[in-house]
Amino acid sequence: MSHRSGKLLLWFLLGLVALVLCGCAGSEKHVELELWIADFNQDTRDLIDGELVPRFEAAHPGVEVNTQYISWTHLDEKLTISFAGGVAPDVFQVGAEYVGGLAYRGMAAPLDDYIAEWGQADDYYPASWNTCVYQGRVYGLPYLSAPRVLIYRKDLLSAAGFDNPPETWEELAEAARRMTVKRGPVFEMAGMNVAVSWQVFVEFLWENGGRIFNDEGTRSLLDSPEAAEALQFYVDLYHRYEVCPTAGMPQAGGAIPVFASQRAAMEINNQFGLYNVRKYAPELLPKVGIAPTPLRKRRVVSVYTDWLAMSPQSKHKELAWKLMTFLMEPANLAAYNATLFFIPPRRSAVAGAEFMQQNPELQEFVALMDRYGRSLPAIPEWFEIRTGLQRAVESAIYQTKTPEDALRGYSRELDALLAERVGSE
Amino acid sequence: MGRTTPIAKSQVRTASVFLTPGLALFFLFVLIPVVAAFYLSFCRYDIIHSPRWIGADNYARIAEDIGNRGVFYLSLRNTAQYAIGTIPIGMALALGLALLLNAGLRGVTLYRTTYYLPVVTSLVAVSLVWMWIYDPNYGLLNYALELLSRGLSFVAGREVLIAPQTWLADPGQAMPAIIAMSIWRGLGYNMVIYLAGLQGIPDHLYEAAIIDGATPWQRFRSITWPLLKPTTAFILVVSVIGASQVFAQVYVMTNGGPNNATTVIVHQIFQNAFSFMKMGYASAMAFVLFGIIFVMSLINLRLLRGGEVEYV
Repeated sequence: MSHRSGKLLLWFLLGLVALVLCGCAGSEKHVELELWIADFNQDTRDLIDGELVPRFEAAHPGVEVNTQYISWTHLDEKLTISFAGGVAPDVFQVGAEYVGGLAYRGMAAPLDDYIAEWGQADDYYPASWNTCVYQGRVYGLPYLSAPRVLIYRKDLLSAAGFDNPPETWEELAEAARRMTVKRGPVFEMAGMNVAVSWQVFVEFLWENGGRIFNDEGTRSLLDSPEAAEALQFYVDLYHRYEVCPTAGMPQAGGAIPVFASQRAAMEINNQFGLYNVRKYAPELLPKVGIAPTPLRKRRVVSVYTDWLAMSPQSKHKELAWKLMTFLMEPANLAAYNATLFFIPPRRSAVAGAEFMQQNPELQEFVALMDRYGRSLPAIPEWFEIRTGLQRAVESAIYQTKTPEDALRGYSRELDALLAERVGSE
Repeated sequence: MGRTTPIAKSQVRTASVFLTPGLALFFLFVLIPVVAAFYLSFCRYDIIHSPRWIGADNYARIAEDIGNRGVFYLSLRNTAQYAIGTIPIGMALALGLALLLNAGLRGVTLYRTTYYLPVVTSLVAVSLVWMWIYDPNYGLLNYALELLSRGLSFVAGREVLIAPQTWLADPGQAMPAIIAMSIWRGLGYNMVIYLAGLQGIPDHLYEAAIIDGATPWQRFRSITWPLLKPTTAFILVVSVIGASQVFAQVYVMTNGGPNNATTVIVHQIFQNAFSFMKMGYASAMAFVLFGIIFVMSLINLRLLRGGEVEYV
């Protein structure tokens, strides 16, 4: 390059810089925030795209919110890849098992300072809040909650000789046994509709005073007598009391859920159990009761909460936090939950939500969640533990192992898995 | 080498131009990832943090898993079950169909196209359709059972109950269900290869055999089967490789369940890599799978080479 053309280039570059500087001074700084939502339907999209985001953008000139709707099936891959590529969303929604993994891998920013200044933490239900806490630090804000309670048919229960919903495991099994109707090998009515799922086992485990692992997340507690008893009871529901087929009750016409189609007398479910009755069999509603899940050693209502996290890679953390708290404003939170029939995880949102007042039974869910609610313990290895727990539960229910052997076997595996992290720290 | 002529020089240049894109893609998307995966199989790596060298720990864990009859052991066993379930029956059916189509039926093209259609259909779409067939509540198969139950009740004059089956939700039935679907899906491909093989057998051999009074069975045993041996060996090699890598139908239809009855090697690799973020362990599994396929292919190639028959 000749001397002359070098000079020309220099002048050109200087001009360009000047132009850019003038441009910046002339208009507002343009900032783009990326928001990922995983729980959504068309109503949710209409609400967020048509109302919430435009309002936020109007209140913050120069800020543009780019909302992506991501299905749960692809969320994990997309999150991992976006973090590895350094293009993670500023704010993103995750589920009840995520906090440990995200915090451990540095994929969620601790928000304690923001929250302290914000001062609205006490408004949240404790079980929902705990979903976002790992080792004493808070990594997000709860966005929706789903407590699991006992939903039962009052008419069938009283016909079976019970005046009140079952209080204990023994009563639960007996009531379910009496209400079950079988024709040959075919179940006409399941006394209790139960799925083969680690979530059900964890409920029985908690009710029996057991736990999956210790507080530090370093050692499995699944080899305890409490765990074996809980799994035994679960297995007995199928094989001793025969209250439900292990493959679950067939759904009527393929679409109507079992309880709403009157093929089960009881089930443990979240508020969607109620939603289904309202949608498919509203005439059944007066006959449906809601109770805490039966007692063994303690009352526990397991609560699953999806929440919003902030990326530590975000270049606009202040604005991201503003977006989060905007979405958390009681009216906005209630509107979001109304589109999905979930329970808003904060008191002021519940109190002001129209759909909560129109469904008095939902208030019972909230009361039970507030009183007995418990969220999954936080640990980085939840996805692997969930898979392993499911395997142990299945091998006991399909009777390839005794409950005790299944748990003892998995407990050893879990110890090894936890030791791997402890060893690498 | 002597002087290169201008023509040779320009040929070399042209060749390099044409080879470069292919080679570049091969290096970028095959060779480099394979080498990287081999390196990662000796590391602990979760995508977010940089890989950490841990020696042969991942391979030791695989050995330990197999020793304890853990999940990877189950996936090996299930993959073998899948291979044994699909390959012999699939090949026998394909040969039978090819013989029928080769017999000069009318409308052969129509049949050939029909049998080949599943092969060109997306495996995920096919899996979803079969999930409906196997659906315990409103699936075609249980509907057939219900009709059978009604028919039997009518004949017997009393109620004969056949309980609806849960198919993919039953640990005993899930793998056979996937095998049945996979045989159906792969039939057309093997059939077309066999058809090509059959058309390569000269007619005069059959004519001579008929003149000598050979029965159809004798003709098949002494002419068709031996001359089809290279075709059979080829289909076997390809099928063993395909069966070792089975994944899509398992992922879509059962996701490895129930009770790990259908988890296969590639499903374990996928789960460890993308659900548990254990890229290193998953890479080690991938190289174990590579070893298995390599050895199986060597054995199969031996079969291919040995004892070729030629009639002149």
